[in-house]
Amino acid sequence: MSAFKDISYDLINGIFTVLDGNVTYDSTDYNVYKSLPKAAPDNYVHVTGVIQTEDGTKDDFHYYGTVQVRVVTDNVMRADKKLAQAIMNVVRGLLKTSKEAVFDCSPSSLIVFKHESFNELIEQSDEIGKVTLIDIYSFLIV
Amino acid sequence: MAAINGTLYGVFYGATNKLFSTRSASLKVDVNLDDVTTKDSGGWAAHIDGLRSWSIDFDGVYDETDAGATSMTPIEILAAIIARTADAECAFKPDATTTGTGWKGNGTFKSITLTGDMETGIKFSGTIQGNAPLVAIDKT
Repeated sequence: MSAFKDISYDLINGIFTVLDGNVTYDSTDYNVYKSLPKAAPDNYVHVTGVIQTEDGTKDDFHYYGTVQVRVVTDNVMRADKKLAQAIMNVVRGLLKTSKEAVFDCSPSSLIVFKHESFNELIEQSDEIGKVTLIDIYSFLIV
Repeated sequence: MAAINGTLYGVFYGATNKLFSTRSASLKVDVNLDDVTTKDSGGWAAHIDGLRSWSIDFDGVYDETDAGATSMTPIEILAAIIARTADAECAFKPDATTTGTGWKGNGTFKSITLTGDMETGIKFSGTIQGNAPLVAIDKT
């Protein structure tokens, strides 16, 4: 049997591979990041925040937890959520093409990938009107 | 006195076939206590020892990838029940590299349940019913 491991990168990279180059809305492509650059664009998707716990069998390790997919938009006029919601809609369609669909997370194996909950964060000032929509997915990886 | 990690204890069917991918196993030993209370018992219930029996309940996460000769998957357990396979030596004991007391006796798979809940791993649970005396063993 395999040794105990950290599956965070396998999962984040699996989500990134599904999304990267494919998040397009209204003929505009949006960047997808596993780690944010110092100078990020106004609008992007960020895959982050893996929380994991091991709860396997007597013979092997199973990893349960959650991961966040964040859609961030910045509109200097106002914190309008329409664009963020549209991008989130595209992201959801890519990650869950059907009810039972799971994507490749090799070398780990993704068994369950399920939408768990949703949250939003709005930051406003004279210079920014940033909207962050956060989809939280639960997973089972072996 | 040191505690013992339950992960080290497995359920074995046949001489070496460990039930694969279990999460829990419980050995239960019973004796019937037949009531022999009479009017002369002074108001206290009395009993005598009756039939003894034992069983092992187990549950785990369904995994059919390890169908090796030294492990037993839910598929093989289900097939054994369907085929009404004869009883075999069963044991509740630590693995071969761990010291500790175990117990063994002939038993038969009585049931297995596979449960496929939505958006979670398939689970299984089942029971081995003892068909002969249960005896303590040391390690193996």
